[in-house]
Amino acid sequence: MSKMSTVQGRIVTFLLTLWLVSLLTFVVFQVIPGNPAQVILGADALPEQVAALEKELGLDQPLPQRYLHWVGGVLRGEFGHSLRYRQPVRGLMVASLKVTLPVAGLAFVFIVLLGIPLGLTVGKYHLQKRGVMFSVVTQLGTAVPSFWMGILMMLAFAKLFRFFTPGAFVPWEEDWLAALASLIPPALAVALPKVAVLTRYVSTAYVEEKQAEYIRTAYGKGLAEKEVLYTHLLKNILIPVVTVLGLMTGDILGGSIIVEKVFALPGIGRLLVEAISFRDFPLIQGITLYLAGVVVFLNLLVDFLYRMFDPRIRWSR
Amino acid sequence: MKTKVSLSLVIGAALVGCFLLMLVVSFFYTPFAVNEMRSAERFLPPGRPYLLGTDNFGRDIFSRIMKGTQTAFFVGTLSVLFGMALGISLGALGGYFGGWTDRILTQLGTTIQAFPGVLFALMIVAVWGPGTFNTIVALSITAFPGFMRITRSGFIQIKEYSFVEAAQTIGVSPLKIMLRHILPNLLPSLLVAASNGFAGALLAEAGLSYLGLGVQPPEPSWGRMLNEAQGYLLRAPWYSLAPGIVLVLAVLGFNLLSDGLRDLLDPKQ
Repeated sequence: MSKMSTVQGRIVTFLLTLWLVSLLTFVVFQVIPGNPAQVILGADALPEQVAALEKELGLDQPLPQRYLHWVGGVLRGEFGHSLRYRQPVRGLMVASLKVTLPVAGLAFVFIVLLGIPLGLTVGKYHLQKRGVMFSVVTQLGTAVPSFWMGILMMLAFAKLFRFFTPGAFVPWEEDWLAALASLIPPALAVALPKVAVLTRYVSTAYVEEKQAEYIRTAYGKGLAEKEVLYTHLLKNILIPVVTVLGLMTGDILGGSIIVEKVFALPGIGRLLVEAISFRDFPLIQGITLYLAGVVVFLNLLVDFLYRMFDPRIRWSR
Repeated sequence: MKTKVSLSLVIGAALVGCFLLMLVVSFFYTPFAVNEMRSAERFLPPGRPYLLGTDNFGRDIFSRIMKGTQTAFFVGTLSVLFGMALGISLGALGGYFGGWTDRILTQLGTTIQAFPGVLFALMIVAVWGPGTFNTIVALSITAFPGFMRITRSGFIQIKEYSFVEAAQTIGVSPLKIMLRHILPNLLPSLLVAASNGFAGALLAEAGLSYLGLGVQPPEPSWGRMLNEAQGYLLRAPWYSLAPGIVLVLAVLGFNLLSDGLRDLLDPKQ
C-alpha cells in the first residue's frame, strides 16, 4: 500500500486501470468465434456485404493498429459509428446519458439524504425493540434488487396512488420540471435498497462511536443532541460512510441500467440492451468503456476525498 | 468457549434449507407440468388449484418458480465455484509470491471490478450471445476478484507465521505449503464470502434474465418470469410479485447465512 499511496502512484494506478479497461473492452470483441462481420450480418449475407462491412470496421487492418485507431478516437471523444443507427456513437450516448446520469445522481442524493438520518436514528435506538425491528427491515432492503423495487413502485402507483403514473420520459428540452419528475421514481427504485445498506453502516458506526470520550465531552458541555450528532459524530463516521458510498457508485450505475427497462426510459441501459440484440459492436464498446471509465474515475475521487476528510491519512512522501 | 449461534444464522439457514428442499422436490414433483399451456386458464389469480395463479399462457406460476430454483441454483453454484477456484488460485499466487506477480494480479482484479454491476456480464453476452452457459462464465469472471482479494490478504498475513516459516525451512514445496498449511486457515472467511457471492449471483442472474439476456425461454428463471410478467403488471400483479418475493427470500437467506457464519466463525468475536 505504502508504495502506491503517493499522489503520483495513485494517478499512475488510475491511468493504468483506464488503459487496461480499454484494452479489455477492445480485446473481448476480437475473440468472437468466427468473422465479426459475418456474425453481425448473419449467415445468409453476401460475401460482398461481408467484405464491405469488414472494411468499414477496419477488420482488414492488423489488430494493434485497430486498437490504436479506436483508442485514438476515444481520446478525441469519438467512439466510432453505430452500425445500426448509422450515427456517431458519441451522439447516441450523450442523448441517453442525459437520462441515465440524472437518475444515478438523484439516486445518490436520495441515498445520502435518507440513509444518514435513518442510520443515526436506528443507531440511537439500537438496543431497543424498534432498533431490532428496523435492522430486520434494512436486512430485507439489501436483498431487494432495484429492478423489482421499480416494479413494486409501478404497481403501487397504479393501484394505490392513482394520481400519478410513472411512465413516459419527457425530454429535458420540452419541460425540464416534468423530465425531473419522471426520473424521481426510477431514482428512488435504485436508491431504496442502497438506503438500507447505508442505514446499516451508519447505525453500526454510530453505536461504536458514541462510546467515545469526545461525545461525552460534547454532551457535558451542554450541546444539544442534534449538534452532537450532526457535527461531532458525523464528522467521525464520515470515513466509513465515504468508503461505502464509493463502493456503491458502481452498483448505482449498474442498477440504473436495469431499472431503465422497468420505467421504459430512453437511457444508456436501454441503448446498451438494444445494441446487444443488434450486435452493434462499436456502440456496445463505447458504452462499456464509458461506464467503466466513470467508475474508475469515481474511485479515484473517493480516494482523494478520504485525504480531505481525514488529515490522519496523509499522502506518504 | 461458547459458540455463538445468532438469529441471522438460524433464519438464514432455515430459508436456505427451504430452498434446498424446494430444489430437491422440483426434480421429482411439481404440482403441474412446467411448460403446459392452458389457454382457457390464463391469468387466474392465486387460489386453488393454482397456488400462485397462472401466467399469460395459463401455466402454473408455482410450478415454474419451483423449476426456476434449479436454474438459479445451477447458475449460482457453478459461478461461485468457478469464481472461487479462479480467485483462490490467483490470490494464493499473488499473496504468497508477492512482487510483480502480485501487482499484476491485483491490477487484473481492479480492472474487472471497474465494470459496474452486470456490465461485464453484458459484454460477454454481447460477444458470445445470451444463454445459461455464457451467464455462468460471465458471472464467474465477475465474482473472482472478490475471492482473490480475500485469499491474497489472508496469504500475506499467514505466510509470516512461524509454522509457515518452519515448513519452508524443512523444505516443504510452496504448493504444499499453500494448500496444506495456509489455505485451511482461510476457509471460514471464504465460506462467508461464498454465501454472500451466491446471493450476488442470484441477483445478477435475475437481472440479466430480466433484461432478456440471461437464461433463455422456455427454461424457467425467476428473472425471466419477471420480464414476461411486466407486460401484464395491472392485469396479473401476482405474476410480478411471486417470482420477486421468492428471489428476495433466497437472496435474504444467503445474506443472513453469510452474516451468521461470520459471527460463528470469526475468532475475534
